[in-house]
Amino acid sequence: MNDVRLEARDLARSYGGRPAVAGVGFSIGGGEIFGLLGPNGAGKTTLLSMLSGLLAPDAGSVLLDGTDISAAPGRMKRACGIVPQEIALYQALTGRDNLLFFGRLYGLHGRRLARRVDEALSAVGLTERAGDAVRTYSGGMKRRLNFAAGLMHEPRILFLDEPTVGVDPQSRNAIFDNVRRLARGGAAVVYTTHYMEEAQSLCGRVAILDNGAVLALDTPQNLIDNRGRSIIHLGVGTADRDLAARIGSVPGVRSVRQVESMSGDRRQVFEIEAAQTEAAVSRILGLLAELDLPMTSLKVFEPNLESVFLHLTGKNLRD
Amino acid sequence: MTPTFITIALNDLKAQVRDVASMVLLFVVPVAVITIASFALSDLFRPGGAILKVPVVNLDNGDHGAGLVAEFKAVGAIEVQESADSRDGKTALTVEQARRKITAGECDAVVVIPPGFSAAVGGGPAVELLVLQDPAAPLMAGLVRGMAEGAAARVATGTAAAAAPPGVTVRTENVQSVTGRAIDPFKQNVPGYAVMFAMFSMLMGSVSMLREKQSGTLRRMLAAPVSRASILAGKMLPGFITAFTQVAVFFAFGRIVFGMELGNSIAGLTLMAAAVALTTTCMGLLIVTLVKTDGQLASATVLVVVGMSSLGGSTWPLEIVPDFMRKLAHVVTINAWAMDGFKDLLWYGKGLIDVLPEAGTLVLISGLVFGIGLARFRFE
Repeated sequence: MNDVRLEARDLARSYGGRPAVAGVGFSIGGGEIFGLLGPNGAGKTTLLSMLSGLLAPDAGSVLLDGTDISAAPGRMKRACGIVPQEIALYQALTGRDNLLFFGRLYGLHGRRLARRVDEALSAVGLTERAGDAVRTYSGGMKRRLNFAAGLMHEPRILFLDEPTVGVDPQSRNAIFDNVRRLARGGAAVVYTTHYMEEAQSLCGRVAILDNGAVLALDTPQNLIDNRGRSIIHLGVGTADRDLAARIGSVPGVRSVRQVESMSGDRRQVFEIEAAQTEAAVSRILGLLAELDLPMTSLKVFEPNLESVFLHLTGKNLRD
Repeated sequence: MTPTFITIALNDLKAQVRDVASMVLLFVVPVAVITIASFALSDLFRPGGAILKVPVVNLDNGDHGAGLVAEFKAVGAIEVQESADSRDGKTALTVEQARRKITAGECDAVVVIPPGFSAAVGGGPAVELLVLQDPAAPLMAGLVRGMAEGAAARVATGTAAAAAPPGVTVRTENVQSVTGRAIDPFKQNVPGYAVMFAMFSMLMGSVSMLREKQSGTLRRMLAAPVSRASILAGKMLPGFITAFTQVAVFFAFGRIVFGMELGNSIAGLTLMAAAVALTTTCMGLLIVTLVKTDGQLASATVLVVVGMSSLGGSTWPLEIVPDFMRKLAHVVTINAWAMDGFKDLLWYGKGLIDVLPEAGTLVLISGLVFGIGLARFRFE
């Protein structure tokens, strides 16, 4: 597979005056799995539609191997495959019939078409059920077939729009394996998700998207190292109202907020954001010993993309 | 390689054929409705109502001929048209006039009592008692034949014998019109309901298009190297094929099961069926641009189909409605034009050239509706 390069330049698109995507730019190459991470309504699907040429941007451009796709839309269509968020299949038809149809749309026919259908069915583990109507499939099987339909013409760029929503672990793993295999084969993969675990484990780079804008773009590890924060949940058996302020003054602690107050204020739980987790926990426990306050619970959440998103936007990914 | 729009159309048809419920709705339900409506409305198409009118042409001047007429009169279900009895001083009905009565659909059978009938019953030279019959109404004609034989036997022997007396044979002759024959209910109901249910097939086309949008398969097609014209053509072609097939199946059903005559121009029928299918297909495109949900689509379609069919002469003949309603029907419905064309072919035996105005009007309506639908259609 020839190397491929896809570049987005200052893409913008509004609906009824409300910006869905505002000035987004990045580039990706062959072999890369690029994640678009953001909550529902962040603009991921609109961005994907513009990248794939389905939607014309209000401003900016998309370049495929250096050529604006608006000048050669057919070239982009042949190069890319799309796996939409919806189960975009014909429920009355069999799995094989669906793949035959979508393969034909890309000009496949004869032996090549038959071979590609067999390969795609095998790749997603649906060979045994290929002759059954899609409506009889489980949700996970439909997702896998939905994924396979986007691969029929062996695209150089694959756009995956939340491909694992509502699937069982087995189907999710099958989709992950195929995505990795495609990337190893040289395809560029753009993967939108609001599951931070997926982005973290699958993507080489991740763009964090909110309100149509890219807030951060880097490898998952760099994002976590540079923007992530540990979250400590600490339970203390006291009604001391000043304790939050005392914890906040501990070196390394960035923020403290009380999240629970129970049993007539005889026990409080704090959510503490800290930079160097171990040192901060050690200092906090020292403070409690010094104040002679009993610790009732302690949970430490290591930094991840969820906390990066929380740090960048002040809200959770699933809000 | 198969053109893409054919690929899309075949895919649609394959999905449709596997949807048993929609196939029943498109083909079985209309056949049942046509059958029920035709039998229920059969008297509407027979002047005089429920009593069977049997003109009797009495060419015999003897007593047995008059006795035979009296025998017919004695049958409660039959109203003998006495104009045939020249002895009463009324104008005699000729055999040719009697034939025209069948041709015009005024009756299903005529009994002709030949000259010399009385003599034959009395042992003279043999004669033939003639029953002219409408081949499209074999039950009624058979009944008349049976009654003629029985009545002749009673006149001859004074007994209730079933067979005609010696010297009298009963001959049956089919009467067929050259320019189109009598109107039977199927000639109204088959085209009427064919047009109506072809309009329902536009619902199937619209549903298919709406579901493509809702399910994301349209997005998938748009992402493929396929032109929007191919997608649209591929989506509309199955609607056309379905509607055309419906009309063909209903006409074949009327012909094969009920002996409905198809007139003198299969080419004309084909043209009208194609024009109706084209119009309903284009209307389906327009409707799908006006709705957003399945529920809205179903409501809009039922409103259009039932409204147009009632007003446009699909459910009852326009001939029985006031003049202003007929004019209105030609302005606001496609059914009126379609029915005009089909009636020209089926009722009056006209040909392909004669229905060009009706077919042309439907094509013009199709073009207009398609243009508006295309302008309003949003792929995104």
